Amino acid sequence: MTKIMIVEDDPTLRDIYITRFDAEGYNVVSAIDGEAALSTAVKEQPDLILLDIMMPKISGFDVLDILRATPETKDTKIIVMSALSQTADIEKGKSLGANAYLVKSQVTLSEVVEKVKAVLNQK
Amino acid sequence: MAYFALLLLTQSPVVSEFLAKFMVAYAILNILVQIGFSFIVEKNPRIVLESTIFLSALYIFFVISYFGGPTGFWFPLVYILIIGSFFYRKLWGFTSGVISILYVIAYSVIMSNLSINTAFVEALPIIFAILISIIGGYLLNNRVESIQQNENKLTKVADKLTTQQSQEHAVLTAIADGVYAVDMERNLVLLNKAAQGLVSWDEKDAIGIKCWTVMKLKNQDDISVCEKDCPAMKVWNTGEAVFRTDTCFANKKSHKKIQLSSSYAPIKDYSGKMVGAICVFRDITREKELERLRNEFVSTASHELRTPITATEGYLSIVTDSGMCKPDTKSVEFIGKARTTLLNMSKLIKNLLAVTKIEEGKLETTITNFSIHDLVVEVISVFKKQAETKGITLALSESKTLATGTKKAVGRSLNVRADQEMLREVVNNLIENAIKFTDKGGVNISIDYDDEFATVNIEDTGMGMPADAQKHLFEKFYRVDNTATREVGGTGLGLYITRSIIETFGGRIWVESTQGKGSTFHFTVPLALD
Repeated sequence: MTKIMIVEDDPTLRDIYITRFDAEGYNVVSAIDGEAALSTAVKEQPDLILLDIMMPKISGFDVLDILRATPETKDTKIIVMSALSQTADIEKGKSLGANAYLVKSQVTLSEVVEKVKAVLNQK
Repeated sequence: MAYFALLLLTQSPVVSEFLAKFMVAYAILNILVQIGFSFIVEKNPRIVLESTIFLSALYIFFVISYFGGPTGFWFPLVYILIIGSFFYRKLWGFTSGVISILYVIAYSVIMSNLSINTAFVEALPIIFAILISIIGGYLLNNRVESIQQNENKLTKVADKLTTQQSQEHAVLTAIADGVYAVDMERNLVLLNKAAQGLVSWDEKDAIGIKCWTVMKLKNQDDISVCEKDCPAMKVWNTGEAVFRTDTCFANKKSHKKIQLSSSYAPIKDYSGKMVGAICVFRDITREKELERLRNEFVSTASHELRTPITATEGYLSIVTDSGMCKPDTKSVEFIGKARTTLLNMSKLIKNLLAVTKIEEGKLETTITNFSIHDLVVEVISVFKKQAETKGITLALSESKTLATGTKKAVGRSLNVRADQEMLREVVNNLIENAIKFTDKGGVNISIDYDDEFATVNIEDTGMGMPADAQKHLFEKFYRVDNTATREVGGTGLGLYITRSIIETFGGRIWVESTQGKGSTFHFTVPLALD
């Protein structure tokens, strides 16, 4: 079963993501902040990480940077999810090695699911 | 009277020379004593002087008599006496004149034992001379009096002006708002107390120097307005009052930034010529801070509202889309309606956020060159189905290039320069509205190009709107007051945001409408310069 890791500090959102992807048939693990994300990613080795940017302590961009620098996770599929829609931020995400960038306010949950499926199918 | 008696007595041969000398000496002594006394008693030098002269006048006759009477060397003193008396008062002048004449006659009568008539005739030349002095003195007195009158008038006017000035000064000092004025060279000519306090400059230091040295006005981006955006210059250019709420300056001492609400007006002289500008301003730092906090609150609240909406939308989508549940047709239908409502709520929140950004001047834009034609085609395709369902047409007609007479290079790009996504919003909003308010006929879009702008026209055959609505249409929260439109809904923010976007890129938006026939919305976008 494909393993997905949800990194999201807001509990309401984290819940709905987990429920939805669970319903879609994925094995879901989650992390509530950047630190937990890094350790869980190495431990669980997910196939895809849904990474929130706006988080306390470390920002998602830093997490992305470190994940790409860590041998165990450098090739993991990562979709960056953010409330920020500035072009500069989207570029930053892409340049740091994200496979895709989604703006929370512009996509529905179903669309996120579609994107996850699409990215997982990429080789 | 005693003096006169003595005076005459000295002329009499009966009185011995010694006695005469004694009397003159006595007279002089008397004068000196009187002067001394006056000095001590009357501190006012003027009164002392006057009484001295009066006394002296009396004794002059003694002197004259002693030294030869009317024909003597000292007689001309009388003329001086008469003219001098006139200097003070007409009455004195006439009195001394009359006394002089009487003296001459009396002298002649007594000394020469002539009859009064003869004496009078004999003395005529001298009397004549005396009369001339009287006349001269009288004229002198008139002159002196008119000068005195003028002086009084001037003093009165000066007093009045001083009072007025004090009043004005008192008013200016009492005003709680700052007031300053400049002349046509922008030198400060007025800086009232409140203004002095706000800028921390003293009036005496500030008056006369250039206004931008004292009032270092800056705009919201912290750039000085004095060179290119001076409100006084604008006032002089337009001749009208100017209102600003975007200026601020830093207090000289505390360096604290003070936000201003100011109004500028021209100062004209009595002939209507501009001689300066005056500004009344007040500190609105607190108000601006409150506004910023309010804006921040709306922004934060809107952001916070997103999460529960996303979650709700998420759970609903799980029921219908994920396959985990098996909803029946009715459930799917109702959930669909719930999701549409959520979508509307989401749109509203997006609008609220957009408004707060516009208010703060923090609308973020990504400016590119793109084809407005292609954009319109894209948006039309999104609404095609909706129009079909309603039974109305939706089409883009041929673009026109308006000839303006200037030569342009062939193959000029007809791209526009703006934020593509925001323009999409605008076109989206306008077409959506057009469809919403049209039940029969259709919506027709056309694009015209001139030298500088592309003008997009969205024409519908819908219900139109009254002239009153057209005036306020693009204002925040304005909704056309109509039961039919109440049904259709709206928050009154859409057109305000649309207008803000268009104006941010340097365009204009306006509407033409006839109630019952339809409306046409026009907006312009600047062409790309490539």
